[in-house]
Amino acid sequence: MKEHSCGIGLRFEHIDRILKEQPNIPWLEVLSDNYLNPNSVQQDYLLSIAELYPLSLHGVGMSIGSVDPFNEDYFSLLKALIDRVNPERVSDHLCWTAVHGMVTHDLIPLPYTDETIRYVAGRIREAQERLEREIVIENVSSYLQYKQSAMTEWEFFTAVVEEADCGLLLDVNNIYVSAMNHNFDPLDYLHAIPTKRVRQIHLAGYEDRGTHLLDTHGNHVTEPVWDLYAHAAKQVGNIPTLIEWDNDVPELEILLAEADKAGSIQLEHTA
Amino acid sequence: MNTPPESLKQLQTHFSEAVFSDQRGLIAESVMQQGELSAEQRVGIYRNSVHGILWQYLASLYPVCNQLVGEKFFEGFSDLFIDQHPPGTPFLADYGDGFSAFMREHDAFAKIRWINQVAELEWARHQAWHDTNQLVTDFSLLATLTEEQQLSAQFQLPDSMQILHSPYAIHQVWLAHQPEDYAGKIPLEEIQLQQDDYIIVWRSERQLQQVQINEQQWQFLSAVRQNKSLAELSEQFQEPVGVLLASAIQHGWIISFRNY
Amino acid sequence: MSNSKILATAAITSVLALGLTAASGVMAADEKVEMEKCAGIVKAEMNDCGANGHACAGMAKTDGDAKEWVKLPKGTCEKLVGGVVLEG
Repeated sequence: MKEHSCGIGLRFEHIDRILKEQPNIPWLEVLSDNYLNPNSVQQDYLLSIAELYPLSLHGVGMSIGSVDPFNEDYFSLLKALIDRVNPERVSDHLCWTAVHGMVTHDLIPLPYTDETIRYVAGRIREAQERLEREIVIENVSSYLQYKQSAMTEWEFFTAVVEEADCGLLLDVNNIYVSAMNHNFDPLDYLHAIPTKRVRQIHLAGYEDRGTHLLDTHGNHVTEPVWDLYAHAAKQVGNIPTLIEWDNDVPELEILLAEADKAGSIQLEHTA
Repeated sequence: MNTPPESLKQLQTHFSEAVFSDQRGLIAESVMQQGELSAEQRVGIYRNSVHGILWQYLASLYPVCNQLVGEKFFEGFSDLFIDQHPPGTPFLADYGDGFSAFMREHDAFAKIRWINQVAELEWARHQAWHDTNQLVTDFSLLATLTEEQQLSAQFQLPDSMQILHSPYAIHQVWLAHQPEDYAGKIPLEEIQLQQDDYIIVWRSERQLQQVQINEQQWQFLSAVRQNKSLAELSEQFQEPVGVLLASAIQHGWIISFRNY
Repeated sequence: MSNSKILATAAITSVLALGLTAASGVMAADEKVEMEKCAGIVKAEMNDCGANGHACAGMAKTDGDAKEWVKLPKGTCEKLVGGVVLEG
């Protein structure tokens, strides 16, 4: 059987088992922010993991879209971690998380305007220069739209990654969540994506809150998101895909089964 | 120079006021009303998400306090703390310092002041977990020191070592809230709350350790932390100094020495 | 000071008597396990102490009723004798 390229997010509750049993997983993604501290026990664990699996470093702390200057400590620690584990990809989100030194630790959307495109693309270029490598930028889920936005999210996303000349992390679940929350066709979004820039795909489970869908990463991937993923696989080809599960983290087996399910859809649609 | 647009600056300022001060009015003016939710409610989804993330984080840092005061109270108190002390760095592990001081100042804790001491123990555990690793020295090298060097030798605790003293039995209270069985664990109802507790917390490789010690051991480790020389330690602790030192080294409470 | 000198020398002797070297670690492994059982509290570390850290997911939380919680903590502290200090 052909091997798929669908991995899982590394969660702390699974680390000991993964180190001991070394299950067959094509690659792992880690939340880089949790492993930045040099000589910490957490980074110590990660170095053991890095000896066994290819890694993708995924962050929330860059605050790419913030009007605050970049956090110097964050970048130097991230650069040092990159040098130590040699990840296949380094990613963060198309959003802002901090302002005036206050950090929300959440992903807050940007207004979709020409001046935001110029500013954010400049910030991504600066981040790439600081890290001396390509970074990969992910679309976030959103629960509101700003009045000042002058274009669709996909026009904004595409313009930013083109102008920044960076990679793109396509979160299929986030597209679906935002499509339902803002009443657009997720396929319009998908078809507008610059396929050649897609470096990775994310899948996750949302929560239906009645008035809106919330991206909680606390459940199985839903049927409509699997359908959208099949479309994405057809469009972008055999791109590394990842299951994100952060809240109510299940047993490793369930996570791996979810990755295998993604894998079979991927193989079926990219054959 | 990549200057941020003025309108973006204003938008983010207004947004942070909603998230950390519950002033949703200004940012709501910039947000579209769609479907069943008003602009303010949409902003509220973000305020609740941020508070939810940080509240869950605080609950994971302070799991015993969470049980002691009840989840409902802990959630409400966390909301208050988050608004008054928003995170100031992208490093989440920095967050939650000052939670016990915040408890101490709050009226709701007037009759249960001792709970903030449990919070201090839980913060100490968090600190010990996140502190850096060091190697353990070969103590047989002490034999190579001259008598003068031995007298001036100073000893080092692990960086992760936290030394606590409380007038309340916080170690027992902590133990009583653990699902696991531990030697010396007694039910909450049987704990004599008002008794002195001396506790150390440190990390040895990948394991966090928490031990109740006696007053003399506590004084000894505190003196070691103040970089007292072996001569000074001997002066202060007299006969027991040999046992105190040897047992501290044996337990991994002292991991290296230096001499001048 | 001469008394301290004797004590200090004796202290060094008792440390050396432990027979510790860097290679042997602080203690032999099984001795260590024994020690932890009787004196140390070891807990499932990675799920503890907020070690789980960041995620990039949103959280569903309802608007808290600010007034409801402030009156009095209602948790396990009530079980403790003297846990809630009565006035007077």
